[in-house]
Amino acid sequence: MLRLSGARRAMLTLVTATALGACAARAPSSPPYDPVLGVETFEAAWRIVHETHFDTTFNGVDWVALRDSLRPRAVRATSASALRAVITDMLDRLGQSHFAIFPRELADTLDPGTDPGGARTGDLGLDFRLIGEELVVTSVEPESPAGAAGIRAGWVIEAVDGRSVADLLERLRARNARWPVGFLVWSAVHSRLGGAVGTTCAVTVRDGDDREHALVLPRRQDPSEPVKFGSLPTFFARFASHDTTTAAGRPVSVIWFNFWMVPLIRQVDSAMDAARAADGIVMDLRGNRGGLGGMIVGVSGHFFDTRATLGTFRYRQADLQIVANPRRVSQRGERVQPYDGPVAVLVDEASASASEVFAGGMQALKRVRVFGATTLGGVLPAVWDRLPNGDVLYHAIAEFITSTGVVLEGRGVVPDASVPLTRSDLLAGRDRVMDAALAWIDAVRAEEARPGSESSLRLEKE
Amino acid sequence: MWSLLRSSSAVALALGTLPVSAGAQADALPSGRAVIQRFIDAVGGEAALKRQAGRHVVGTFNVPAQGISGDLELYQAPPNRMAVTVTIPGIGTVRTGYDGTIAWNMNPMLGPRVLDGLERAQLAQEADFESALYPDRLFTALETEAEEEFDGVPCYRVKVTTVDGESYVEFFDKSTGLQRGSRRTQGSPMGDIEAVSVVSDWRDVGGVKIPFKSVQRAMGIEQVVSIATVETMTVPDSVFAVPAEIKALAGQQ
Repeated sequence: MLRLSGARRAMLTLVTATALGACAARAPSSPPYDPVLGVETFEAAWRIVHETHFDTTFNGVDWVALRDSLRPRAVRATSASALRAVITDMLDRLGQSHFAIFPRELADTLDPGTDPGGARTGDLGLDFRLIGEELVVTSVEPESPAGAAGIRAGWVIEAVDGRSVADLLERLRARNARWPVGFLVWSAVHSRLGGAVGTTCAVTVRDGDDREHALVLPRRQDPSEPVKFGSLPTFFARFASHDTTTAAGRPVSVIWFNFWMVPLIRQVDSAMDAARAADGIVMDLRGNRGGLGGMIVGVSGHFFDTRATLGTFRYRQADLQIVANPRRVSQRGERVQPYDGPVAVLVDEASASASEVFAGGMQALKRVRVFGATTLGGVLPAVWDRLPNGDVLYHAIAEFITSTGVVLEGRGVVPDASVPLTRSDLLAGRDRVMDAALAWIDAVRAEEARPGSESSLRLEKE
Repeated sequence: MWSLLRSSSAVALALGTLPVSAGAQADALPSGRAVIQRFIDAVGGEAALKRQAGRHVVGTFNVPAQGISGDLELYQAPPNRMAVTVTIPGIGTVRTGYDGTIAWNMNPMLGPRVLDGLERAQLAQEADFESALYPDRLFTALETEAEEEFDGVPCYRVKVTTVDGESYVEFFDKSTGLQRGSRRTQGSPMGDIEAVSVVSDWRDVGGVKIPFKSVQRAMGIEQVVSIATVETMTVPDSVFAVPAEIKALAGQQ
């Protein structure tokens, strides 16, 4: 029926608030502040959460008392940013993911179709993670400004635009105990590195011999595909896949994408069609911060021949199931068998939201083996509503529970095989997480080839 | 909204054949049959409904609170065929159809699906263009349960029971006789969802009134379908052709 098949999925979305780190942002050019509208906006934000939060205990917060205590601050606010700070304070008291407020300018003016030169669509082409106390580069795109400047995996980012990463770490640790500091610094430094295309960014890095380099790099146009969905900020979505081989020479397909955004789905489906003969598939969700939860139904269906329930979205009104849709037909309209070989999922502390639903749901069903580091633990399905002043309230309306009854919010997906990153591995060009996944695929296939073995044991070993 | 129009029409035309027990309803209430007959008259009469050979509808789909909007196109033809396309930026094109046998959906997020269970039953009901002539293939009972204010308007609440065993309620405006909305459990890939629909802006198209606006509220989200144009026409068979992916799933290749 149209109402469900065409549109309801839009409602049942799962987008991580932490994805803002990858969204384009523009310095707001706000109209004059209207204090009456500000109070109305505060009240509306409070009411929406009051009426839609999946937990009527509000995670232990006295929601009515909180409104009464914060309302005077909303009344005293003299700017849109001050009002946002009050609302953000209110949302933060819940201690849960997927509550945020998006400035109107972010929601309205970054339609890539009309505003292709968004102020922060430029990047340098590198990624990094916190290892111990060091922010270590984990990958560099060869053709990017970072690659052209000679930055390599294993180098350490010391400062961005003169601001020390060590100082940032210290501040983040002091003010936020809820989220892993590795995720926070990763998100914050990505934000600092981003900026208007053509502007420059001063980066101080330390190379493999610990020599310091002060570089000034031009920001390129982010090569990702801008995706605008409703009044959410613009997402910059990217996809990549490649074939590799295990140590034993077995062919494996690797699929990576950074957001669960629908314009990428055809590429995912094509990669799956191409991977049917592979001895294993690696779904690399490291750094994937989530997106539209409905995609999980389609992507997970590539790995099941029957409907399988990955878990439950528990709303205030009802429980809804995340059920894999068996993908028994190729993109060319040919009948096919969903992939039944070993599947490894790679995650880390920057894997969030829809990625956690997928990884945790598939893990609970023992259909995949998860490698890497524990994920963020921000796993609440959310929607968004326009507020009276034009800002957008992003708010969770459900929680996710795996088929084995595990609530992933605040916990994250714990890998079956925990594989820590080391700077020395990165400097040597090694990806130990990927290596572990490939070794496991080798072991599974070797076991299957052994007379009398049962492939169903593949996930219960080790 | 087309779907509600279809539901309403189907309900309306069931009156000719369904046995309705007058004794089962309170004296003050009109029978379900009477409510439906009044609805038929209000939208233009049975003869006008029978003259409709097919329909092409163009409109928009919106989720106002979330800033989501898209284009909608619908074809319907007798006896029970339907094809719907909804295109939403950021999502892509979602297609849904029923050719009298296969109920299907192609959503880029979910992958192609052959519908079953409640989803299939409801889609087949929505697609039935000839419910006016053959109502007993859709419904087993219609019962006016009460007068009830619905969306701020005094209405008759009519309980509808389908041949698939589903029950839901439709609301008919006491003053105009037109349908005002419904309360129904909707099938979805994630399970059943309680939904309330409100229809309005009835306009004459070829002698039959059609609601040009429909609002559905479910799980705290409001969705609005606004019709721009309705064309009464003979729809080519090719419009309802089942896609190759669906044929493959249904074992027709």
